[in-house]
Parts: sequence; structure tokens; C-alpha cells
Amino acid sequence: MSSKQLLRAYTYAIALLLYTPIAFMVVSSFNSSPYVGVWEGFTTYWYQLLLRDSEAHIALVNSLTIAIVSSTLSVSIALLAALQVRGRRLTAVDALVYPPIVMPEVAEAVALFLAFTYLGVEKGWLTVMLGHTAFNLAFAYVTLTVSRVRFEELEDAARTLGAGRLRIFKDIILPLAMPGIVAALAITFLLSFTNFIKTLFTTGPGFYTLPILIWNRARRPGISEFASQNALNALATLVTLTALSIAVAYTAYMLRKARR
Amino acid sequence: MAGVEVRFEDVWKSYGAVIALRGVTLTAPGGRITVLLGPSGCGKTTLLKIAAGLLEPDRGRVYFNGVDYTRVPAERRDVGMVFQDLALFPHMSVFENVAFGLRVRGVRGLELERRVREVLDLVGLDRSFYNRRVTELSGGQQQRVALARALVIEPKVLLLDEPLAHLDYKVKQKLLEEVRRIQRSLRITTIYVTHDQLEAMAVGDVIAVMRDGYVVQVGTPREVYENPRDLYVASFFGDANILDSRFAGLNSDGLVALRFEDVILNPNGDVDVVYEGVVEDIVFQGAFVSLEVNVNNRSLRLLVPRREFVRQGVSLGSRVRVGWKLSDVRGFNSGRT
Repeated sequence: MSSKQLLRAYTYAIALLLYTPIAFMVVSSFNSSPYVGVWEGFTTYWYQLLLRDSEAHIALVNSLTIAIVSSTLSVSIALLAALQVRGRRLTAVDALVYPPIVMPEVAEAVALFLAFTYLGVEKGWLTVMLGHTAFNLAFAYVTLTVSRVRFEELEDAARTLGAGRLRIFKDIILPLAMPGIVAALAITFLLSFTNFIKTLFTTGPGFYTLPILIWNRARRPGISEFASQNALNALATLVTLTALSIAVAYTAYMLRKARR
Repeated sequence: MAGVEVRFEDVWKSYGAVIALRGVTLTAPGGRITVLLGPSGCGKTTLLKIAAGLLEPDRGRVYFNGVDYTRVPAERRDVGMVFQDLALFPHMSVFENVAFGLRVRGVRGLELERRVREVLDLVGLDRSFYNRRVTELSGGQQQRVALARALVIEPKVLLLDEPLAHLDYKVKQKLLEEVRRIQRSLRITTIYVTHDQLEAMAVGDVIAVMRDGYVVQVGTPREVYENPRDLYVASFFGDANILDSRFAGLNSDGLVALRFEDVILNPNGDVDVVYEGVVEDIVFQGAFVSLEVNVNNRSLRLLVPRREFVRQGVSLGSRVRVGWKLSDVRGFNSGRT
């Protein structure tokens, strides 16, 4: 076997490893049996069931609003920070921002839990959103600064041409920072949309997102038809699909940028 | 337009512990090109940025035609600046880069198009370039865009920071000619920063030689070349042998400068000092040939026209005579060196 063939075989093996569980989940969601592993014929019943699943609808709305608000908020704050500290290479801000990325998520989740409890904040949408944002901030900052364009000279050039601060931000900085902003939005949205541990620790009674709902049901499959294995597979398939389509849209945007 | 005179008065600037400018007083005459010449770190770019309003001096004043501009911010100064790295807007076309300064000023439509076209014609970029991305252009073309972008706003003063530093020789020569042509046709006061003495001589009406945050000497290229104020200027602006005063033929102590081309190879009379020596190095430079001659274990450099070199048939190891006139020896009154 040539090294090229070997590499190809290896690549296929990786892809197989990555996608088999997902493929299994997707196929199972069309199984008319409620149980995984017993094929009883094709059905779209579980998806029809989802249409009537009001808990899932609430969870979807919660997940989406949390992800949208948290990603927007964290990217806005990170952008301001990135614009303030640019120029110097590595700053105190960088040092402050990196730890959340390498910290074990559960430790951070516990910290958030303790902080909110100590402050006596009622846990729910706000605490989950703030918890996600605190964490997303680090990722947004890193994404925005990784391809740090040198703006200083461009700003100087624009100033000598008569442009004020607003004009410079609108016509120079924003267009040049846009690929970074889009990337940061995509990454933080997905981190937030798919997050489980931090949500679990920062949520309160009655507030749940899609991952939390899936977890609750997976623990007690007998509780209702909505919680049956393949109903969950249908729900998880939709969550995965949402995440994938955002990733694909992002890649398409970047490819278009690169081609121009 | 007569051109705006720019005057710096006792300008100081430091960055933390580093003092970039130590009391610079200098006048850039209206409608002329003033060159700030010096090695990197001498403060020339800092001075230029102060002229642009991008930096504020710690002390001292900047006047445009006698009006105090020290605190006028860059965006209200009407200066055109070409940056060392050009700082073209990478996300805009050639046309949009040049149009930016006009759009900021509210110029629109046909007027905008006409003025952009005029200035792009001036720097020699035709219509085929208008929609190109600046990142697709060659170094020389980018240079032209940067110049056009600075000129389109009809600035009071044109500031050029090492504008040709990254270009190869031929392109540089061509653009130097064009900078001169454009400046003459517009009669715009220009301050040109460079570390390259050849560039300085090629474009400068006035040369200000800088060192360690001071302006060491100001004059026309010829004045500075023929009467350097000290050894530093003598060896930085043009090349010179730095010699022991007595060896050079003077009856005093200290060091003196002797231009390479003022040393005459195998002179026939008409010189005041003559030594014998051995040719140790020959560097062919085209129109001139540079020779190194060892005289009593001292190295002397001389620059001989190629025809003269060929006529004399000198080669490595040849024994030759070298001589010079005392009037060509530059002594200094114990100035800083």
C-alpha cells in the first residue's frame, strides 16, 4: 500500500469514527420502534411528535435566545477590548482572557453556580445567559485577535485624509474586522447553543434548554412517549442539523471572502 | 498657490524613557521639498508625524504659515501623507482608496469622479486600474496609489515617510523623477523623510540632516555636501575619508574629512599633498571605480572616473601616487563628532 493510499484509508477511518454515532442517531430517528437497535420499519412519526412537543418548543426558544444574546453580547464586548489593546503584542488583557479557555468547564460551572448563589440571584434565563457570556467572551476575544490586522497605520492614514473616529470605525475597522466578527459570532453561538454543563449549573427550576431537556428525558425514558429513545434521536438530530447548518453557512461565507 | 511654510520651533518628544526629539527648530519653506535625512531612530519620522498632527509634541510649536497648528488634530490639518508601509485600505479598490478623502469631505458624483481621475492621471494610473484591488498591484503601482490618495485632497503640505524604501532601483529612480515632476507642477510644500542620501540629493531642495533627535545641519544638497558641519554629516551625507589632520597636510591636531572623489590618482602637479601607496581593492561601480590605497598602513578611498581608471591601467597591487588640494580638506571647529 502506498503512503497515499494509507493516508486515504486513515482519513476514511477517522470520518467513520466521527460520523458513525451521528449516522446511527439519524437512522434511528426514522425507526418506527421506540427503542434503539430494533428496526421495525421507516417512519416520520417521531418528527410529527416533535411538532406537538411543547416542552421541546420552549427549550428551542430558550436555547436560541440564549445563544443569540450571549454571542452578540460577548462579541461586542470582545471587539471593544480587542480595539483597545491592539498594537501591543501580548497584554494583561490577553493573560486575563485565556484561562477560561483552558479551565475545566465543570470548575467554571461550579464557580458560576457559587457566585450566583452567593449573590442570591434567581437562577434562570439571565444566569444561564450571563454564564455563557462570561465563557464566550474568551473565545470571542481570541478569535478576533488571532488575525489582528494592524489598524494603527490605516487609522492614521484615514485621519490625515480627514476622517473622524466614527467614520474610521464604520469605513475602515468594521469592514476589515468583519470576517473575525462573523467567525466569533458563529463560534460563540455554537458554544452556547450546544452547551450543557454550564447551563446545568446555572439554571433554576423550570428553565431548560435543548441539551438540558434531552438530558432530562434520557435519564427517564419511560416518563412519556416524548422521552422514548427514538423521539430523543429525532430531537438530537434536529439540534445537530441546526449546528451543522450554521457551520456550513460560516464556511461558505469564508470561502466567498477568500475568493474575492 | 505659493505653498504653506511649515515651521517647527523647539520641538521635543519622548516615548517613555526614549527621547526622540531634542528641541528641533526647522523651517520647511513653502512650495519646496525639504528632506529629513538620518539613520533609523534619529527622530525624523517622529517629526513628520508631528507635522501631520498624528503625534503631539511634549514641548514646542508647529506653525503652518505662521499659524499655530500644534494642537490641530490630523483630521483637520489638510495634510497629505504617504506612509512607509503605504497604509492603503486593503478592502477597497484603487478608485475607492483615492476617493476616500473626498468622500469624507462630502464630494460626490461627477465632481468626485473628475478629481479622482485627474490625480490618477497625474501619477500615471489609467482607467484599467480603477477597479483593481490595491493588494493585486505591484509595489510601484501601490506607491502611485498612495501618492494619489494623499494628493487628491489638495493638501496644504505633502508628507512622505520613506515612500520608496521598499522599491527596487529602477522603479525608485522613475518614481523619484515623478515625485519631483508632480511637486514642481503643484508647487506643494513637501517634507520627505529618508535614510538614503542618494534619494535625499535627488529630490531635496533643502536637506536637514538629523541625528539622535537633533537637526545637525540644514542647507541645499550642495551646501551640505561641500561644507559638512562635522564629521558625522561629512560621512553620512556623501562618503569621506576621515583622516588625521596632520596626515592630511594641515598644521593642527584633530580629524578632518576628505571626499573620495577629491583624492586624485597619480596627480600631475596642482595638488598640495602627495603620498605613495599600493592599490589594495578595486570596486567597479559603473561610471566610477572605487579604489582603496594603502598609504603607510592607512587606508584611503578614492573615486576615479571609469575612463581615467582605464587610461591609467591600474590593477591590484599597483604602486600609485595619491594627492589632494588642501582646499578640499574639511576641518571642523571641535564640533560634535
